[in-house]
Amino acid sequence: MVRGVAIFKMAARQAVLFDVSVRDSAGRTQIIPVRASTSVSDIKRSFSEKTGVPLNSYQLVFAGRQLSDADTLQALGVQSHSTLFCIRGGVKVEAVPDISVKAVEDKLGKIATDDIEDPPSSPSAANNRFYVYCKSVCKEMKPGKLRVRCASCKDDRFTLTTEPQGWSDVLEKQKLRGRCYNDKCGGDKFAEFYFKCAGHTSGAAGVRDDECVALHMIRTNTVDIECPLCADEKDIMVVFTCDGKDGHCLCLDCFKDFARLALTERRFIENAQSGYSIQCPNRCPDSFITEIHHFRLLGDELYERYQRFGTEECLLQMGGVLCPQVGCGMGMLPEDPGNRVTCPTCRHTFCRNCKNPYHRGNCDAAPPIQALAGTGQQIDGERLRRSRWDEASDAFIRSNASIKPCPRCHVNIEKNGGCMHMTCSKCRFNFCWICLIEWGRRCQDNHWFGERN
Amino acid sequence: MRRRRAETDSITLSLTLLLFISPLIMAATKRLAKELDEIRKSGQKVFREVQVNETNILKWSGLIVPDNPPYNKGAFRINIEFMAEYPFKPPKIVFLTKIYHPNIDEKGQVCLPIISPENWKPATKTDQVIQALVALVHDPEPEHPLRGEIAEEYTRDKKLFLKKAEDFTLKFAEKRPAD
Repeated sequence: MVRGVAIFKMAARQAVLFDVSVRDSAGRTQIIPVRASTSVSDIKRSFSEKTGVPLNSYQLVFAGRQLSDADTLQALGVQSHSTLFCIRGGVKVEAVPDISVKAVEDKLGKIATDDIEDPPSSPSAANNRFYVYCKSVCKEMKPGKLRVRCASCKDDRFTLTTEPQGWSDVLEKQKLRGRCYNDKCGGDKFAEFYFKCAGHTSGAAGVRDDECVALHMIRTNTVDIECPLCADEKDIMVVFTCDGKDGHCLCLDCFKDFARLALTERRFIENAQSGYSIQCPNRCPDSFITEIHHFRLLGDELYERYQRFGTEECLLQMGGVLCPQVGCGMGMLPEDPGNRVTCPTCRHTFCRNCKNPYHRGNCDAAPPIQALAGTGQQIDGERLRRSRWDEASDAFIRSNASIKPCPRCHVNIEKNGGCMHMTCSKCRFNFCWICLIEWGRRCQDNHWFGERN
Repeated sequence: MRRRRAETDSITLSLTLLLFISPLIMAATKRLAKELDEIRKSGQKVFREVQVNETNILKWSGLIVPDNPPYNKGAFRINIEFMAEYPFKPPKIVFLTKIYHPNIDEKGQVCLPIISPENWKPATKTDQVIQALVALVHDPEPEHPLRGEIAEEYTRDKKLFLKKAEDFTLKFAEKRPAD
């Protein structure tokens, strides 16, 4: 019954009229109304009628492939508002190897390389093999379209000579070659792949450059795999690259929860290869997310937080400091190696090591934070209010037995359960909550789960 | 007037919290229901009588029935507690039955690496956690002890340890199920 409906829908889709554009080498565009069942020769006939260009003097190119007259738009994956490109002369193709982007889309969009016999459960999701983050118009994840052009002149009148074998061929530059049909460029050139959003029409809202970033980890669940986290079968999965191959996966909803928790608990790791990122849920060593646009899926607020945390971590790794003043948090790279640091924004002067207001001598001997009382300084009302707030916050932290500073980097750490073996969320120092020294066998034996009774 | 404002604020806050957490609880509930079903269907003898709090699927209890001496003279009841963030956060296990074991302390707390926050993998299933727990009960790890003196005894005088652990089991552990 369901299958019947699907077939009906497909038949209906074939009958629907839509527009495609045909662009000639001079950049003139003709819009031609078509159906999914329309063949390339039909389109060429319409184009010649409209422009007067002799029928045998040109060929059409779409997404890296020279089209043969018998192909139908449906077989080629040409959708509404697609553009076909006209190349003059051109040899009439008898047997082109099947180097179509559609074949590539089918191959790359799959979760695994295994061939799948069963039709996917949801016809709507099944049509989408690629997903992109549309920054310019839709501002969200959308199905994407893969396109190819000449890497030198950026002309779309380009055909591929070899088929991409995987994502690396598509995402990395200068991997595959093809033939460019631009008169000024021409010949054997490198191919350049790019993605467009299928969620809006090209050129909508006055946006000229509507290229999108491919979310290559997002795949349609064509293999009916169960999400290992929620034990549910979902349409859209996120597949991590573990040790260079498609690896562990989880559904999109679980990915969002997984990344959100890791971000808010500051468990992302800053490293040179992938920036501020996370590993797959199985923590495969080489599985960090390298395309940070995947974190866009967390929403604007969390993405903004992701960027801020990432910047802070990067700065701290470079030996920088963050201003400890409430409401400031300015990042800086002090050139002076001494302990005295003055924030260029709020002029707060603090100790580089313990982040308390600047003091002489040992950090342990530093007096507790106090408002500017007794310093004889002229202070304005706003600053006084803020410093009182500071004082109250400091008093709260000091009175709260579940908050202690890390013995190494002095960041305040809250303990909300678990054993006495603590790992600093900022500097990753392993320490004992009771002794406030590096975690060791002695602490483990004596008070792993608290003081001995 | 002022108080009413505060009340509204707190209601708004708790609603926000609920909205924030509820999808997670739904994910946890669904997965736990499935895991529970699988464990019950597996009919394993080493972990049985799995009971779940009727109003709260996050709290489980069950009976560990070890096969190997010195613990095969009894059975041990445990509590498994899951957080609303499960499976993103690991479950916690506590022994309700007293046990003489280097890796399980007097309060029933156990240090199981598979469920420590540093090692936890969200794809790990409760059944795997139970298998790891049973393996630890059978083969103590004296190099990571929670009770130093028992660990020392285990490494220095295994015979004495076996005797004491067996006596302890006979005295404090639950009766083993008939089959």
